[in-house]
Amino acid sequence: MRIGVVSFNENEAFAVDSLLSDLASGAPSPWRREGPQAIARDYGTDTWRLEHFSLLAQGNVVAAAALAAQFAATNPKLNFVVFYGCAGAVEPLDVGEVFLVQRAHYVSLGKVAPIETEGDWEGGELVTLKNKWLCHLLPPVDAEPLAPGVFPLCSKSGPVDVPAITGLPTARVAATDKVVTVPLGVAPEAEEPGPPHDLYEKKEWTYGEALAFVAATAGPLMVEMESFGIARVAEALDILDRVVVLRVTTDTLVDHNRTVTPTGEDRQRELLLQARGVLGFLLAKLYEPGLLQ
Amino acid sequence: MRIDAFLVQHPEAETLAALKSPGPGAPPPAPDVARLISQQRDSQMQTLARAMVGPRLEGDFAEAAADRERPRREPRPRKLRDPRKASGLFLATCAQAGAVLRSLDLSDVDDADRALGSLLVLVSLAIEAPRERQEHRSRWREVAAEAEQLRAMVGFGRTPFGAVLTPMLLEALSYGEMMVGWMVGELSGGLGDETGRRNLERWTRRTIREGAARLEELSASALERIEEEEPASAPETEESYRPARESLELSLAGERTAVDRFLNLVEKELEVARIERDIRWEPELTTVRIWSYVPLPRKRLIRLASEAGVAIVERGGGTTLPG
Repeated sequence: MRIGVVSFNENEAFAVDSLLSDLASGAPSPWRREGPQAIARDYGTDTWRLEHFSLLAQGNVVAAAALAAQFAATNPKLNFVVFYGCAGAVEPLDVGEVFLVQRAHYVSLGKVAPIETEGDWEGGELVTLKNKWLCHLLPPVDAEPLAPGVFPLCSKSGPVDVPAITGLPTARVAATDKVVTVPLGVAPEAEEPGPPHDLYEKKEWTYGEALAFVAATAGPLMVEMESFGIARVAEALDILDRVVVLRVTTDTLVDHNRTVTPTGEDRQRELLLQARGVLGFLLAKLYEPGLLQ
Repeated sequence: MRIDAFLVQHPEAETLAALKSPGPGAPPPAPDVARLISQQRDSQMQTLARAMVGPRLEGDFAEAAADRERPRREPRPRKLRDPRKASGLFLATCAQAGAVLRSLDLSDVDDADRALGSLLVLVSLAIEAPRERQEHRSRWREVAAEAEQLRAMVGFGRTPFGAVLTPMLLEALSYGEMMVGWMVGELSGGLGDETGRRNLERWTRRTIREGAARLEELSASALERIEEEEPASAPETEESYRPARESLELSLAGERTAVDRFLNLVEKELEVARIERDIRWEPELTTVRIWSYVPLPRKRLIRLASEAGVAIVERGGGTTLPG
């Protein structure tokens, strides 16, 4: 059984590396180093291998490319790829939680325009999202909303039900290509209700409106920058059944914990390091569901 | 779930200790194992539906943009994938589940779960690297024997191996029309319009056949490797073994009943050893491979095609019309 863990930023990489170090150290450990980023052990008649891919980069495209590269180059294929990273919580109370990503909506395609005052541009920019990529429009246009990326292993439609074997909750993701620090707005109202779909007037929405639109469906919502790219490339590579995304909510939209607190603590790093125990539990269950009864 | 609450339930020290445990310990309770197997069984149709079509591509949307007179409001029709590719993807996902089940004890779950669990493990072992497979050969032998026994137990209306693997296993014998009809109904939700649905029945049959062939291949190849390590048994006598060396590939156009009629006629020819149906996916065509002991005269095949009412489509694109 071969599992790859992918991390994006330095704090996530640190948490994953420390998990690998703890596994491979301390006598007697059956784990052995196989290069700087991988460990392996024999387990019964099987061999377990755990490899860390530290990207030190972020974004839907970068994460998707990393996934594509692994599956193009790795032979035999990894049985599972676990993406481990932080996320922004839409609800402040959701900070400090862990979630498996069930589906990812892409909240990114839009427009940047100058903010002009009486015809003069003073350097301000207005960023909006074209709602045709998010919802069905009235009258219809030449585009359809982008279908969300769905992870079968975390939505009861894959060969293994990961939330059931781990007890971890699932959440949806609004995948952006920017760090969003605006609060949730008011969800736009439909012009005509469904079925089959609610129909909206063609408009450019603010991030606040778009996030409120996605958040309107039940269940926790996180904001991050990779899961949509991961899901779409995994689908194209026919490896959706191998991919799990584990997210730690380290920030809220308007209060990012990434900054060091007055007492000198980096709360994002702290939470990610703490949640490596959850990552370890997930890995244990993927290697051997019988472990940790 | 809050991180600290999760870690109270599952302390990190315990997780690390479990990951460092010397080897498989006490088996998990049977209900847990049964749940894992049931999940695979219950997700088979969804897995096949995912394998049925290729990835979503935004080029599909560009195609719609060109048709501005009639903007689409419904999901776009999606092309069905090559059945060989689809069945391969489906079995790869079975192997995924098999890899998770491999170290678990299946002896305490009920017959149906054990049957499916064993088959998944079998597929998983067979797909992995040969070196690793040899290390598991004793278990492979047991699993292969168990799957072979259970195959005989499967009857109409029972799908212990799941909605997709059961017809794949039964393909060697035959599989029920009702089963295929039900599968087509389940899969059709993933397609956009009637164009896709028209081909879906044929696609489902071919995917089942391709899956059956792949299962057979996995099983045979693994067994062969085991047998290579054992003392060679007595060679078969000339009388009992007569290889059919000649093969001929034909693409047939016509109604399914006419194609069946043609193949029945060909099968009755003394020189013919066996016929492999649907060896490749071609829209509106049935492609077969005919194995025979000596080359089959072309004129005779054309006469039989004419008699049955099918056309043999030439590789170059021409058509030999019957009559």
